[in-house]
Amino acid sequence: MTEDEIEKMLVLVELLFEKNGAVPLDINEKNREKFGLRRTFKYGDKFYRVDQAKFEEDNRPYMVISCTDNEKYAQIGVMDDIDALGFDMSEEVLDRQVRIAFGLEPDADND
Amino acid sequence: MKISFDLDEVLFVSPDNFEVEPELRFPLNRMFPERLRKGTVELIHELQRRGFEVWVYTSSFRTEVYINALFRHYNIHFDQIVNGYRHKREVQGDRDVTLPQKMPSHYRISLHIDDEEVVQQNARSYGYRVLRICDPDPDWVQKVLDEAERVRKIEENNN
Repeated sequence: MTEDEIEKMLVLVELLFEKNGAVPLDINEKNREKFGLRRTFKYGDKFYRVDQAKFEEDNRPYMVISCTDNEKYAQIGVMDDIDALGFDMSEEVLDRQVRIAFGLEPDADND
Repeated sequence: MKISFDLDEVLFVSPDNFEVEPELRFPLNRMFPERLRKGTVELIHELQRRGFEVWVYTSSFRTEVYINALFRHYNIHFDQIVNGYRHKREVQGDRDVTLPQKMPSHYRISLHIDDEEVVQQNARSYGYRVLRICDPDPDWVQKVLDEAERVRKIEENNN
């Protein structure tokens, strides 16, 4: 995948965050600039972010959704990774995964 | 009626010594390396089906977000989670005397499932019931269900 294709998918997930009711926040600007972290979103009482990550055993990048319920941690970009999504997922599947991450739907994907 | 489970050595076990639930798909298995004791999914679902409120009560400092996410991937949703942070804030508070690491009675938990002998020893002093589960046991699910029903009956008779 090219960097543009990766960026397009990450932006799509962020749009799906908003579509499902999350609000983009202007926080953690310092670390965003320094470490290239993406924007933080708030849904309910929790904070979310999506980034790309690679894992040792696999050359493919994944989209990792991170979350914290601690506002102080959100302010400095410290979150728990809660899900990993493939870049080959369709928009429909990604939408469902975002809804699962937000607690709007149960997760039946435990294969 | 509330039932709580410890995590380490109760629901989280080593696959070297215990039968375990299937691993999560890659790369979730790298993000959540803990393995669930075999029978955990069936047990939590059955307890909730029978109307029990099921909690996690752990002295570990794993965040609620992490614990919820891990179990969500197994389609398990706990009613409440008490971790080390929450226990410190809500149970220990500003007390000068150090309380035990677990106080199920503080949350009106009727039955707590734990592996530690000290938690079992504290039960009488601090007014809670505990079922000790530690070693591999093919009947552990039924033992928990039976004890949960036994305690429920006692509480119903007392009311």
